[in-house]
Amino acid sequence: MTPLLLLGAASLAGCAAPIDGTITTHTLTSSRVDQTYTLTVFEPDTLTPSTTVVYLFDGDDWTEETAGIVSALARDGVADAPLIVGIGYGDTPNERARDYTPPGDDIPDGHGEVEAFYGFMTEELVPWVDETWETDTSAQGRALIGHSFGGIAAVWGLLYHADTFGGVIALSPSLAFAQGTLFDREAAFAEDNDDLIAAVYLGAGSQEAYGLAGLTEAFGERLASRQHPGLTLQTELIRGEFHASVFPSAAEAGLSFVLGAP
Amino acid sequence: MIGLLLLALSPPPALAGPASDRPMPRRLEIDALVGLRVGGGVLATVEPLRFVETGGYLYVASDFYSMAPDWVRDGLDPKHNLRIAPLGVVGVNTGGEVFQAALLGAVGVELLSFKESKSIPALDEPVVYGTTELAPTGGAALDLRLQPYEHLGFNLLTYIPLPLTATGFFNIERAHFGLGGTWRW
Repeated sequence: MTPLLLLGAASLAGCAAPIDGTITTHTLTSSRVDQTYTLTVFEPDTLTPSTTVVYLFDGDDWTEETAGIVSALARDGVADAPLIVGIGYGDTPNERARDYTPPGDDIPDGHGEVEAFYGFMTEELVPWVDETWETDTSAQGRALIGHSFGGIAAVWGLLYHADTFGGVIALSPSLAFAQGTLFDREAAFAEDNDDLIAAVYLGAGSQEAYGLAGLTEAFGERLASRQHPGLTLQTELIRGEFHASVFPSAAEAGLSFVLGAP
Repeated sequence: MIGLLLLALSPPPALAGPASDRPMPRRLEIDALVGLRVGGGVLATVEPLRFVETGGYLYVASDFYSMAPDWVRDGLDPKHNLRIAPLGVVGVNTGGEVFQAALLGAVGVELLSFKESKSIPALDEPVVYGTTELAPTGGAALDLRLQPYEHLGFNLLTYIPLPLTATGFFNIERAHFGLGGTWRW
């Protein structure tokens, strides 16, 4: 679940919060990527045609946890519960390194095919979701959330697919990957575009070393400095959290911000 | 927990008065910490009851950066990195004289302080980041002890931080082994 070898983790037990809805599992074979994805979908009891859809990277690990978070937010009146589509690999080899990372010089083998993954997302997955559930199909009705490598996949979606995904929650994004290419790409985006219409939350744990916390703050400052009229942005370091612990609290903050955005 | 450390290191109660015929064994362990951090640890305990231990555990450690992938380490310049955690411990042991295993729960605080800079080609200036935080912490320690001599021996302590994160994950970066010597009297 983490991109760093030193942050290897072991799953011992699940203890997610109660959910107000149902979780089902589906498979979808992509012709864009040589992969059959396992989709873990949380359908809230309150599903309506205006319900937001949250596309969650590392869905094998985080769908149940995230469903608990959005259920609690809905009970507290913070935001209506979204449909959550957790994108994972099921029993097949986990290809998150291939799917979530951007291309660049000197990147490790098996990485750097995020744009092909977004071909699956935008041309296959989103249409399938829109046909299967009656939800908000505007860009503002779709959000991305990802942690670590999933965080940079979410940032990629912000820079290149904001017309499809109007909400982005990037948690502990691995922004140093490929020599920080996402900083260059953000600068190129700002050169070519006067506006970026999106609600964006960037979060990391205050105890995250290896540049994770520092680069998350720096990227937030970069984005804020562009003064895009259509951008609502929050950058936050969550005190006491580290890379393997930050997801629940940062996801709650990010979902509150993005789902609660007008 | 500092009090428990002092209690563990104080003279045996037999010198203060015969509260019981059973002597209260004391143990002092000094370990080198290994794993994804380096440092040292001191475990000092007494056995108020047979099979029961209580005392204190103090570790001082620095996170170990060199295990990270190249793209993480490139341009990374750690300035300092320090963790200090005084913990109170209580638990049970198997009671053996030559070989003994102990399972201890630990509760206390950890002071973390680090500062680093990270350079990437896309930024003109390195990003400098650091924090100093004091927070409650706790964990579990499994201590395997071999004591071939009357008072001296060796130990291997495995420390795992608790509680686990919300989804049941723990970070091996925060676990460590303690390998060192034991003095028991």
